[in-house]
Amino acid sequence: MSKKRGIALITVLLVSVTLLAIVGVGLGLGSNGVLFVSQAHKRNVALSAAEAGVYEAMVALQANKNHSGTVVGTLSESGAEYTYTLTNQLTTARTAEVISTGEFGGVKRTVKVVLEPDTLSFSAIDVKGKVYVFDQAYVNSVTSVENPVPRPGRAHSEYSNPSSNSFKGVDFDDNGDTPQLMVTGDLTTLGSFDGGLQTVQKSKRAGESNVDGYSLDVTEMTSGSFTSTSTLSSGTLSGNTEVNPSGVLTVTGKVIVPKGVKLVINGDVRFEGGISGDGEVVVHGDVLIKTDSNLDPTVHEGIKLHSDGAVLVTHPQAEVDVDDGDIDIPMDGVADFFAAMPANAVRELSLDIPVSAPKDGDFFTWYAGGSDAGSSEYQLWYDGDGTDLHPGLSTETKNWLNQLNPTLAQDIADWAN
Amino acid sequence: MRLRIGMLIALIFLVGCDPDDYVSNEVQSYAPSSPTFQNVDPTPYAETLDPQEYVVQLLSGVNVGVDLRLPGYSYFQGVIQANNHVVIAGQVRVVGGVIGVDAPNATLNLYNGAMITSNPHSFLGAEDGLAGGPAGMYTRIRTLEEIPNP
Repeated sequence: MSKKRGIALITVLLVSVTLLAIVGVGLGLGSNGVLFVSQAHKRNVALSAAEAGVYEAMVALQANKNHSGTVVGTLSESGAEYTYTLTNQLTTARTAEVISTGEFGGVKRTVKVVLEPDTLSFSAIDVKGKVYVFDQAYVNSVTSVENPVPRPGRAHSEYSNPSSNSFKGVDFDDNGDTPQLMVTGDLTTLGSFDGGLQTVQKSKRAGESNVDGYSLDVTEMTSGSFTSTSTLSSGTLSGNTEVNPSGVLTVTGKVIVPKGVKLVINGDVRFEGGISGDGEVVVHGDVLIKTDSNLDPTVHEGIKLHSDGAVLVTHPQAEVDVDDGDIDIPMDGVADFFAAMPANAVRELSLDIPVSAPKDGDFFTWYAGGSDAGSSEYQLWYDGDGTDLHPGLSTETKNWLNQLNPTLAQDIADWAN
Repeated sequence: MRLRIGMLIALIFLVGCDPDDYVSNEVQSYAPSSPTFQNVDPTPYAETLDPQEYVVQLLSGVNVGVDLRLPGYSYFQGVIQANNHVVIAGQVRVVGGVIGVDAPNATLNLYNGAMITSNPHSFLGAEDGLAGGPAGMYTRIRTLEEIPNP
């Protein structure tokens, strides 16, 4: 009898120890989990604080483009702190670096961000004079030449005259074309818009002034020591040059003005072979530029050109009739079609594109033909299914594609294949 | 197709008359003589547009940015500031900006496909040569990375 009781006692003790061990391990794991969750929360909040510091730096730059230095702040809800250090080289290297550290509950996390100027601060067109649009023109924007992300392009005219519109459309050949100005961002003026000019833009505002526009500082651009000459040949300038031509200066080849080099011309000039580079050019007279048919990817800034007179910029294949005083310019329907392409078409066209769609120049004849328009695959690509995964084409992209007619589509196919 | 723009050159030398007077197809005389314009020879460093590559990239979604090159277009890279008229004639893309046009009755004339594309670097690159502008500047994030704590 006593032997049985002893076995029972031992059994109870073993069970109790096992249970206690299980409970202990469970409590230990739970505690670690809580600690883990708590630590993860702190890390997330610290990272958010670091990112908040970056946005605070961006907001500070919106108020003062010369802002720099170290700033400490606290987030009101979480109590997390951030410390950011802004190294501002926007006006020299065209970037600003922000190193921002967030801290919460003793946990720190740090991010390094490179900022670049946004096009919202730089208008494509910002003029005091009246703007004429003959048939069609386009205004848009990119972040830079080396990283050409599309951004809203702005156009503004400070012209104001109660009896004359600031933006006026002209049907050039009187062939019934409605003049059109397509602006990817804001279109504004101190004056008014011609009702006959069809415009496409993000926002259109009349009676709005812009007194904060940029200008080129001619005094600075003409300061320093210059080598004087009476002629100018094509090629790359190696130093500051001042040209005093007798009559109109004509340069038949391409002129390259590198960064840091200044060119001053005291008279009228015609750059018949184009002009390129990142340098500064001041012309005390009128300027004619025949542009380059090739984009130069090594030119990040471009020429800073000031003219006391007028500037005519035209296509390299333009022909000037001296006797009649007019100019012939090439007009390319394919060019006009792609010029009107919405920026988001680049992303939309390839998404859910039907297998039957050619992936080369024949795509455009395929679309214009409409042979697959009834298929479910086509409908998913064109209209989507209402989900984010299959959004379909935007109205802008559809309108653009619907400009295709069989002739234009074949022209594009011939060009691309 | 070619398009004849009669008053373009005359427009350049017309200073001080009412802007609306330009809107005519009247051809006016162009005083100075000029040699025939020549086409530009492609330079070795310049980037030409390959039509096949352009369309394939467009339809494959490879190029998620935007190709600054457009078929048939030519380019001026930089900022144009003129006291008087500015004329952008035809399928020309100005990658930079157009400012000024300050003189009384000076006009900006955009003909048949002219395209102005703003590029902030064109303005900032002017450095000391740049005046005015707003007190602040909008920026955007180019890169973001987490780094070890200082």
